[in-house]
This record gives sequence, C-alpha cells and structure tokens, in this order.
Amino acid sequence: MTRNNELTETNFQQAAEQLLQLRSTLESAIAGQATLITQMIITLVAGGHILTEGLPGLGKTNLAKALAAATDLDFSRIQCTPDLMPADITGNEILRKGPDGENKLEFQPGPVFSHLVLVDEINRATPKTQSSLLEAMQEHQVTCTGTTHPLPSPFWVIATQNPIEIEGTYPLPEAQLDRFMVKLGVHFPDAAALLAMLDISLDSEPAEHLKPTLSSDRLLQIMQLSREIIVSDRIKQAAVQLLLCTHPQQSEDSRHFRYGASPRGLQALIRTARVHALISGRLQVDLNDLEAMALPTLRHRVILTIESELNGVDSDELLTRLIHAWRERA
Amino acid sequence: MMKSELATKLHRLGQRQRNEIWLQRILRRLAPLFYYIGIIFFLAGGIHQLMLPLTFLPITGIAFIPSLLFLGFLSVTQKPTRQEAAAEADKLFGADSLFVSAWELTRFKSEIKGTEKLLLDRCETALPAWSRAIRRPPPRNLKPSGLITITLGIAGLFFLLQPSHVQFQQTSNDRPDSRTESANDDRVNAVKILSKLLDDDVIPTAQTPEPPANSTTSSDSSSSAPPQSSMQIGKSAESASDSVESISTADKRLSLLIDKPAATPAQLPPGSTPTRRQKTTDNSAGNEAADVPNSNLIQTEAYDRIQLVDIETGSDHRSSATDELNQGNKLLESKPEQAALRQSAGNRSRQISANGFTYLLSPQQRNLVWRYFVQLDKIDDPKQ
Repeated sequence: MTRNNELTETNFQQAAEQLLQLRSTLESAIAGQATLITQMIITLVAGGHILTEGLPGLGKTNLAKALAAATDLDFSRIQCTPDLMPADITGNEILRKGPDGENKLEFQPGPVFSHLVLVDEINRATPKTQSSLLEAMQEHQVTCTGTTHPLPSPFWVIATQNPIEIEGTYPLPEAQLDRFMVKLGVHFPDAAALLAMLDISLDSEPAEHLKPTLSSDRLLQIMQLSREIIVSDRIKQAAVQLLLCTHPQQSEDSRHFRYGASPRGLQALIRTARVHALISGRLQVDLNDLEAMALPTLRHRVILTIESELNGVDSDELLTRLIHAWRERA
Repeated sequence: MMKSELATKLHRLGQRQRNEIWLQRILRRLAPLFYYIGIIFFLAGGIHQLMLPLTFLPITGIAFIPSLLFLGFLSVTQKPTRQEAAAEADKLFGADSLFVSAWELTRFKSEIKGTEKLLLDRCETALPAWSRAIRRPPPRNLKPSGLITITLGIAGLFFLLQPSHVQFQQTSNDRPDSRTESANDDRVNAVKILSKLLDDDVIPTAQTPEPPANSTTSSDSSSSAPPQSSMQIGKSAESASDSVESISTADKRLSLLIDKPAATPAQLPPGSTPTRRQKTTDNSAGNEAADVPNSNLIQTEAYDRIQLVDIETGSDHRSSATDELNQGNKLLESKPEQAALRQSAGNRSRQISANGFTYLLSPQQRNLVWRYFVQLDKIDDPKQ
C-alpha cells in the first residue's frame, strides 16, 4: 500500500481486523470499559490527543499504559503537580562536559519526547505548565532557547483529570481543551466488570501481561489508510449542521450554551468518524459514524452559560438531545 | 461495469426515488384537500337532498378547482433536489451512505481512483438489491379518517347525483303554482286554436300521415298503463288556472276514454286517413257537430286535449320518450290546426318550471299523453 491506486479491499479489511484485535487486547486488560477503549483507539488512529475524565481508581492510567504496551509505542508519564515546571515536560538545556573537557549546553529532552505521553491529573499543573503542552500537542515540536526540536511521530498525549477535586487544581483553559481531539468520560463499571477486574489485576498491573499486537509502523499505515475513507458532501453538510446545533440561538437546548464548538471540533468529528467507518468495515463515512463520535468530540468544546452552570445543567445531556434531534432531521 | 454505465444506473435509481419523494410530498400536503373534497361533496349531497337542489357541475368545480390549483403549486415547489433524492434513496436501501457517496462520485468527480474505485465496486455489487428495493412501492396506509372521508364523499356524490328529495316534494305540492303565467297564456292560445278547429266549417286537407308501424304495440302498451296516472294528472289539472276550470271534468272524461279502449286498441291501417280529417274536410261545422252526439262532449274533449297537450308540451323532456310520442303523433300532423296547436305548445319550454326549479314528466305521464293522442284519433274515427 504505497500508492492510492494500489489500495485493495484486503488493505481495509486487514486494518479493520487489526484495530478490532487491538480492542480485544485492551479489553482483556481493562474490564468494563469497551466504549472507552474503542473511542480511544479511534482517536489514536485519527492522530488526536485524548482527555479522559473520571473518578480516581477507574483505570485511566492503566488504560494508557495498556495501550502503549499493546502498540509497542514509546511511553512516558508526567504526573502533574502545582510545582511542575514547563521545562520538566518539554526538556531543557543543561551544561554538560564533553569528552574533550569543554562545557557546553546540550538539550535534554523532556518526557514529552515520546510516542505516547500520559499526562496524569493535568488539572493539577499550573496554567503555565499546561500551556507548555500547547505547542507540543498542536505542532508536534518543542522550542527551547530558540531551537525547535521535533517530537517523534506518531505522537499522542493522553491526559487525565479528576472532576471532583477543586482545591489545588487549575481547570484547563478553553484553548488548551480545544487541543484535545476527544474528551472521554470514564464511567464506573458494573458488577460483572468489577468481578472481571479482580480476576485480571488483583495481584499485578493489568497491562503487564499484554504483548504488542500492533507495531508503530503498522499503526502509521492504518492512520494513513483511514484518511482514504470517503466523506461525501452530504456527510460534510450534516457534520456542519451538527456543529452549528451547538451554537447559541440555534435551538431551545442550545440557548444554554455560551459558546459552541469550534471549527477544530468539526475537523475532529470528521477525522474520528472516518476511523469509526474503517473499524466498521466501510469505505465511506455514514451518519452513524458522526453520531457515534459527536459527543466525545464536541462535549469539551461547548461552554455553558453562567446561569445554566448555576442551575446544574449537564452539557452532556444537552448535547445528547441535540445530537438525537439532529439525527432525526438528517 | 464502466463508470458511465454505473453512473447511469445510479442516476436512474436516484431519479426514481426523486419522483417517489415528490409524489409523497404532494400527497402528504394534498391530504387536507382530500378531506376538503370529501366534505364538500358530502355537504352538497346533504343540501341537495334536504334543503336546496344543487347542480352537479358547480359543486364539482368548487371541490376540484382549488385542489387542482394547489396541486400545480405543489408540483412546482415541492420537487426535491437530486441530492435529497439520493440521500433518501440511501436511507431506503439501508446502504450506510454507500449509495449517496457513489452517486456523488459518479456525478461530480471526473477521475476515480484508489478507495473511490473500491467503493464503486461495492456499489456495483449492491446495485441489484437496490433495484429490487426501489421497485417495491412504499406502503401507503389509509387512515381511518381518510376512509371515513372517502365514504362521506362517495355518499355525498351519490346524493348529489340523485334527484333532489326537495324537488319531488315541491313537484307534488307546488304543481299548481308551477303553472306560470306564460303557460296559461299558451294554454289559452291552445284553447282558442282548438275552438277554432272545432268551429271551423272547412278544414283544409293536409297530407295523409303514415300511421306508425308500432301503433298497435303502443296502444297495447298504453292500455296497460294504470289509471291512477290519469288521476294524478287530473288532480294536477284541478288546481290549474281558471281559464281551464273544466279540466278536471275533462280528466274524468279522459280517464274514461283511456280505460275504455284498452280492450280495443286503436289501429290505423297503413295508408288510411284518420276519419276525423276526412269528415272535417268534407263536412261543414254543423255536420261535424252532428257526428258527435253531444256538443258539450266535444267541448270537453277539446279541453281534454288542451290539458293533455299542455302537459305534453309543457312538461315533456326532449328524450327518447318524446321521440316515441312524436312517432305516434304523426297521425295528427296532417291537420294544420292540430299542427298549429302542437307548434303553439311546442314553442314553450318542454319542461315545467316553477320557483326556479325544473321538473320532468314521469314516464307514466308521458305514456298517458301518448295514449291520449291515440284515443283522440279513435274518437275522431269511431268506425275504426
């Protein structure tokens, strides 16, 4: 698969099968989070960054580790604290003595220089530190003392945050949130999943037993293949309509929003929908793909009004209603 | 399959779906008019039967002209775009946007490569199933309200096409009133002509009419007419204008005349001339009076004729029954006076008009009139 005209049905079928196999591998490590795993794989193949939000102990960190293990990717972890500095993430120049005894400044890459970066509890880092991730996430490069250092490819950031802790946290600004392709909620597993979890990871880390099922090169090929999925004009129009639904004054529900989703959200929606279509074995994006990926890609890009927040309006519920109404119209 | 061939097939499928959507949209928006038409016919039928006789054509116009205008408006405004039709076809096929994607590719893209080619291959595989799916027309269920509307509309149409009940009532109740002033004038003219006919000494000879070939049959059939028809006419004649007060007497006379010859139907041999014409030609008025035992009877007969001629000319309809009547009346065509009488009466409308409504002569009444003329000839020629 080097050129477009050499694509065959087999390429797409194999890609879909490998992604499904990756999902099965991850499900064997993290029980009760099938939807979360699927959406995470889709986002990875789409080349986006992931923000997961959930209560402590639900397996967010373990899932990131399992993903890294199953894909044979370089993995690094950043535990955010209020005193974490940007240079601790991006790296810094340090003075080193060379073999000839001469001292010189040399760039020491930070943990961000990895294929898969887990930024744990990102809302505990200060805004300054959070902002240091902006360039890395968006442009896949780090600039230090005037020198630009490219990040390895592929590059993903999986960030986690705790929604219930307010003290000592710094909520991510909207500009930072917009860099994440999706925001995934980690829900509490049901009884059967909890029981399975005991069997899997009672005395060991869940990702320890995982073996790579997908190489990074193959992952890159699949990422390339996903861009070949056809998005018809009708689907594009439907996606635009869906995005506009989140803007104020568009409907009864959207009046609760102060700001709607950005154009970057539209791109994220289409890109993730393409991978969703690929996993589903289709060569074209369907409305079902848009519907499946609408909530993860749009939920962190809308801002509720002050009144709605004070009234305890749930943006996810609002968006779900909007998406449902849009699906009926489309 | 070549791309152009596939494009043609896809376009055809999309076009069929477009027409189907178009039709559905029009039908959906025409539903209120459907109810409107049904209600209009039902109301019109009810009014026609219970309140006021209505004519069918204007009601039909009221019901259908707005509908047709609205239909024309809808056919222009409700036509779906091709993209909409393709999207709807995709939904119909359950193709998960495969159809609409292929349709767009074949329609808007000049060069097909890579995944697009694979997609068209998939589309080609699914094409037979799509063709089968689009051949099945979507079910159009008739709602109970629609069923009720259809029933009401048909019932209304039936009532509207039936003769008005009000018309019959007015015919029976208002028949004396239906005699208009002009009718009375015609009747008086007819009396004058008939009187002149009776009083004239010499009546010019006219052509000998050919007796109708089926005169016997007509007489036979007329003899079987129930006498109550004549009584009905007599009843209506009783309430006629003052100028024909003796009509009721004449009707009685007429009834006798009609009932009596039932056993001996009037027959005219071919080529024979009615006796009365011969007598009136050869004899004077006095002789004519001598032929009749009672001059009052002659006068009564005259009034009988006036009455029945009036009925015939005033109420008969231009129909096949009239033609039958005219065929029998050829017996009288040789008499200019009678012809004049007929012409005088014929100048009037051949329908009875009263209070703006039009009434027709019933078949029994027409039959009775025919019998009257047959009997009249028989009276004129007792030998026959």
